[in-house]
Amino acid sequence: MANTYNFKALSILLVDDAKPMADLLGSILKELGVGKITIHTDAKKSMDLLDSVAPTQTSGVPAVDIVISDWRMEPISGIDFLKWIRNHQSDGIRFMPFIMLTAYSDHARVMAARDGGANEVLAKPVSVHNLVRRLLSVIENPRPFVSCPTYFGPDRRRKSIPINFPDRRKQSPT
Amino acid sequence: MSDKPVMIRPRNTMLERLGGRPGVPGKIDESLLKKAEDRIAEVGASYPERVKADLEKLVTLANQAVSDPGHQAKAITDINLIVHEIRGEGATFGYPLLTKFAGSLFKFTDGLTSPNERQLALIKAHVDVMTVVVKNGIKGDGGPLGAQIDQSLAMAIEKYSTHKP
Repeated sequence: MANTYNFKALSILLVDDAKPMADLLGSILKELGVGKITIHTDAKKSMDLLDSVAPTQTSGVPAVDIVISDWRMEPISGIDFLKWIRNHQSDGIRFMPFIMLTAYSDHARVMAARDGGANEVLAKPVSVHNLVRRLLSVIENPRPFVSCPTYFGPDRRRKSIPINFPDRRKQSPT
Repeated sequence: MSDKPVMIRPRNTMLERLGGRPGVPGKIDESLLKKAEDRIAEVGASYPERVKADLEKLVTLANQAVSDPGHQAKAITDINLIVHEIRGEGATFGYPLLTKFAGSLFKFTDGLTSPNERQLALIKAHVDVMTVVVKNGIKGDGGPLGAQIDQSLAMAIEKYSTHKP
């Protein structure tokens, strides 16, 4: 039997420079029972917050579990914010699940978010169903991270498809 | 850093803290999902009022792009920013036609720096149809009226485009 989640212990950082959309998403998350929702309209504030919580992210309960960020923001875009997170020196920050929110729905943009290290892409228009699907994907199916000279982020191979060549990737514990 | 890709499984306590079990798909209380849906509908009820301000800005900017060549590029950039937001919001609040037209204008204005007269006319045509959608509260596909507006924009695109959006 499927268990019912209690999101009270979940902490989400939401970043969108369009305040109405940020407020709407914040309200949806609140109705879903998310215990802590931090809303910023500027990624710089989020960077400062993550820098300040970095030392405690890996010990005990993290201050932020998931980041949901819009793509098109100024002065720091969502993709630059994502790259900042994936290049952070603290493991608690660079491994943080990141859901990219965007009105860009073309394939090239989705691939760019994926190649930037996003765990999920949530395309606008936003629906409760789509938001919940992305959250559950991050919670229930955390993909391993791949680290190589050209990429750091969640494994981009979502499906386990047999390959007819050796898998060069080494397994490493955290 | 090694040249060979390394797979890392970061510590993740979320599933456990939220009451989940590994390998067992969980669910969210139906009543909470309903509350969240209701919240969207509630916020959506005031959306036409809020988006009217954006549409007024678009009208001003479209006029400015025609009358003030010195600020034309800036006006087009601002139009592009506004319609990007509208295309994300419209369908969220039940106005997919608004999202469609905003998306069309977004594509058309993306990277457009020195529009000709026909392109400026096409920008105005987009703003006009978006205004009609909001003014008439056209939700969903808008039925026959929606189809008529959609067709009128398609004709304007055909008429004015040197490159189609």
